[in-house]
Amino acid sequence: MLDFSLFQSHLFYLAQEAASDGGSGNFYAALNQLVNGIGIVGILLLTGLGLAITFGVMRIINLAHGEFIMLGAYVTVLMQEAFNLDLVLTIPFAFLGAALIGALTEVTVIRRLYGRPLETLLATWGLSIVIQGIVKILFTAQLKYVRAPSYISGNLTLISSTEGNPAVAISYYRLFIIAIALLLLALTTYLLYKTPLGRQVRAVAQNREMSKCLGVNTSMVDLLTFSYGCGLAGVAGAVLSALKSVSPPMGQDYLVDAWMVVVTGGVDKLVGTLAGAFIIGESNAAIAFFLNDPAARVIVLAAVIVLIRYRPEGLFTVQKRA
Amino acid sequence: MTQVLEGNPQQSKLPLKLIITGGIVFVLFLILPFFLGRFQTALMSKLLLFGVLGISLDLVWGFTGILSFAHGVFFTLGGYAMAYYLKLNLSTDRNTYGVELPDFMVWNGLTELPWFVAPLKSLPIALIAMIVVPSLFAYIIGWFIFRSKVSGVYITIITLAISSALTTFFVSQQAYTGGTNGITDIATLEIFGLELTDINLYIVILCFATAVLIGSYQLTRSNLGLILRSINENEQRISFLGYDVASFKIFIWTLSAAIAGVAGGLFVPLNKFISPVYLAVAFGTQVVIWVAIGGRGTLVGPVVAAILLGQVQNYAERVTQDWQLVVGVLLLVVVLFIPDGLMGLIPKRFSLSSIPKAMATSSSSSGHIQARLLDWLTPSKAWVSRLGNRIGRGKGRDRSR
Amino acid sequence: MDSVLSIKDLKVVFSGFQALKGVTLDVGDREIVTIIGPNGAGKSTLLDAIVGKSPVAAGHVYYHGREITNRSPHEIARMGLGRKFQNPNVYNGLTIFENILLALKGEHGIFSSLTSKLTRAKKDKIAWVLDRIGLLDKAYMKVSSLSHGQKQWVEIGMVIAQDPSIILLDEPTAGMTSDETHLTGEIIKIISQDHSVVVIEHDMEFVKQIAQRIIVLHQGEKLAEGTVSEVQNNPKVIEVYLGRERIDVAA
Repeated sequence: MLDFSLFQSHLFYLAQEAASDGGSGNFYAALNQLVNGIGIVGILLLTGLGLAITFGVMRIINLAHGEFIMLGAYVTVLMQEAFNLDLVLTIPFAFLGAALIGALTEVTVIRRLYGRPLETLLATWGLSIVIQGIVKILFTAQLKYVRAPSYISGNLTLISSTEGNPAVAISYYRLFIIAIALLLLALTTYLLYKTPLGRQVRAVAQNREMSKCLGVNTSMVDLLTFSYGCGLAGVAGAVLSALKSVSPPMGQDYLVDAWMVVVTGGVDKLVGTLAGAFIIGESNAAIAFFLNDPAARVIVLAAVIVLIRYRPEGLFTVQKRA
Repeated sequence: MTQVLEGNPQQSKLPLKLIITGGIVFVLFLILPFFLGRFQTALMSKLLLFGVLGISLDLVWGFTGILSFAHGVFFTLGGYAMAYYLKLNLSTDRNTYGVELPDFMVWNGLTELPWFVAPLKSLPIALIAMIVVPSLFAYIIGWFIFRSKVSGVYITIITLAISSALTTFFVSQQAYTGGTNGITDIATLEIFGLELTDINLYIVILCFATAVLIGSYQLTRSNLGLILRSINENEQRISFLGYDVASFKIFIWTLSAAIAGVAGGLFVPLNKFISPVYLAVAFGTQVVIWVAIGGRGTLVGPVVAAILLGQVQNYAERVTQDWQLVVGVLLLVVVLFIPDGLMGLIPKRFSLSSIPKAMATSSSSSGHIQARLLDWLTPSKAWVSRLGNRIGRGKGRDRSR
Repeated sequence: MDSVLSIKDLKVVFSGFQALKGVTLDVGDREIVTIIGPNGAGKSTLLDAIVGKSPVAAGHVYYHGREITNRSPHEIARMGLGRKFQNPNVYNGLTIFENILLALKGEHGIFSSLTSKLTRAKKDKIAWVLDRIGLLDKAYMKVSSLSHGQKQWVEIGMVIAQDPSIILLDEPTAGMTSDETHLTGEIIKIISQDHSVVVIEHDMEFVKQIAQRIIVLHQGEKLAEGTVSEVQNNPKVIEVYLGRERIDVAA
């Protein structure tokens, strides 16, 4: 009767993939797993960045974050179907598409709820259902597939075994994901800390009323910040679209993990997001190596719960005066 | 001596109007299955249980201010306790393998019952487990998170993580939990030789729902209810009045998990299976939606919402595949325009006994909602006109990346 | 010596910033102690540290000779310390009656709150408190509909209802008209017949109305102590206040 898709993590699939292409020796297998962990870190960072903006800077509990990732993926699908465009070239469009819809939701929903975090949480969940529903009507629930460009397919062999076969390898696409994630991290840090607009954004985050008095157009800043966060999610969607199939509920797979990354790292500094992604990604890979994938996920989630309990502000945040 | 206070609207006796209306509604529900088919009776039973689950969430969220996505987890834990019992009491001839061991355990190579499942063959133990397992789990979580400085949205994020982690765990432990499929193909619940199916089961569930509703209503009218509402409004202040906020939170959290667990236990003989689907965040969210749409802090609201949404869905799904979209839009509309939910739409003069609410947004009538709608539209107009002036700056930003 | 509250060399630190640098202070039975000092002197922090809201870095707080340093707020409150906050910290969504009911002494457990009945004695006690703060006729009104000054009184009423042996009031007259301020002073005088009172205040007129002993805090330290005139003639105090906010000696 009720239609609930099971809530599963993409980490499942990735880790399984990692297990299947394990090399010869146990040592190589472990190394491979670490390298695969790095691949997961890239994905986590990419999906967490947008949240680091919407939650970290604006304190918006955005449960529709996964849907903005999904929208980005659909922009890529659309661009490929219509213009046969290279995936890399669709990224700007994915950014703009997600940012545009983000702006629309900010104006119609989010800004009515500033200062009421739980209401925002509910509203964004409503949004997430609505966006999924609309996409389903427009594109049907059918799985769509995206072609990755040929020049970033294949594996980079890091260590060859004695017979000359690759023992430890990472796919170029994973490297591509990591590169994009780091690029976006650098860009965002630059925008936030080195530009006048970034200063305004941080000012509004710290003291909305005072910023207003100082002549900052807070509603415009909010709009731009939220749209930018959604745009980042869109980029994540475009890049990740080639990893798995694209479907309306795909965003759900990324939501909880993206939240865990942001909460673990703390939202004070963007570096926290990188650290959060690294810790979660690598510990996931490591535990999965010694136990199994579901165990890794359960243990990592439990660890994050314990972390929130003792340091809700995250690992990389300076404690403030009460 | 000082003057004397007369009258007290808060703790007066139950209003007669409420007792009479409540009684009439109960009788109506009681005779309902005799006019309904088997399918509708089962559907109503299920929706009543969902309503109870909504009430249990309302106690912690509507009254105490703790938004939880983990209530589906408590529900499902109670459900698994019952499901093990019913599975173990499946007569051997109905078991595919003709042995004591449940089929999914055989498939996964278990040769004997795990120690934690074996006792559930006895009904009293299963019934106790149905209450104790979810509430013990809730107590441990509550003890862990409420005795700390964590509050608000972080609690909610923790509940999301719990739900997600448990789903993964249950799916992965195939040999013990039946994995993704859960526990299926189970016996009929029989108590004192009476088979609980169809109408019998409906009446048990109706009585349970009524008891929960009355109990919760009394609880929220007591001093405890007052304290919970105060915690919701400002939990720090009340600790300076000498109340140990954490223990109150843990109490209501555990109690609500116990209610959810029993609801889950009764759900299994009705649903004929239990699976990790009900552990997942999506189901937990469904519960939140019932409460939000029905009206936080109203108790009856979640039941009304669960029944209404369930029935509409039942018919809507024959016409459209996009029922969830409607729910999403409804949720948005409620959050933006009707924060008191459907129950807030009932005009004050028809209200039987308003449970005093802690939320500041109180007087809601259709006029109030109109005002909110206008509010919602006005800034947009201003914004559109302002957009013209600011558009240059807005574009500058996009170019800069 | 039988002081109700005794503070020894209390230090409070916020991420490197010393908000209190070792304050020592005694409050006797049924005494009114007034704490004054410029903004940022650490007045509210002192009260926060006493009631367990801010962690104490060093030093001790004794209540009737028992150490209560860094105990949890509800334990301290149950022992008999009542605190009123700077901004009226009351329950806007509840009625005045309910606010006072919550504060009533005793019955802070879960099960007692489930079973507790509203007895005649409790009602009388609430009526007595409401009479004292002059809000008896508004007992069943929502607090949200009251004026700022009335909310201050509701909170004072809550503190009285706790029946503590010591009452800590943080700027009880903030936002009040001069009539209301005067009335508050009279309420405090009545309270002090049964309770010890510590008041933080800026309004010197009001301080003179109620004060028995004044303590001047400055930058987290005790600058001076004494009667109104002693403090006003203290050269150190004059120096601190000069150019900021002159203590009005006239009248």
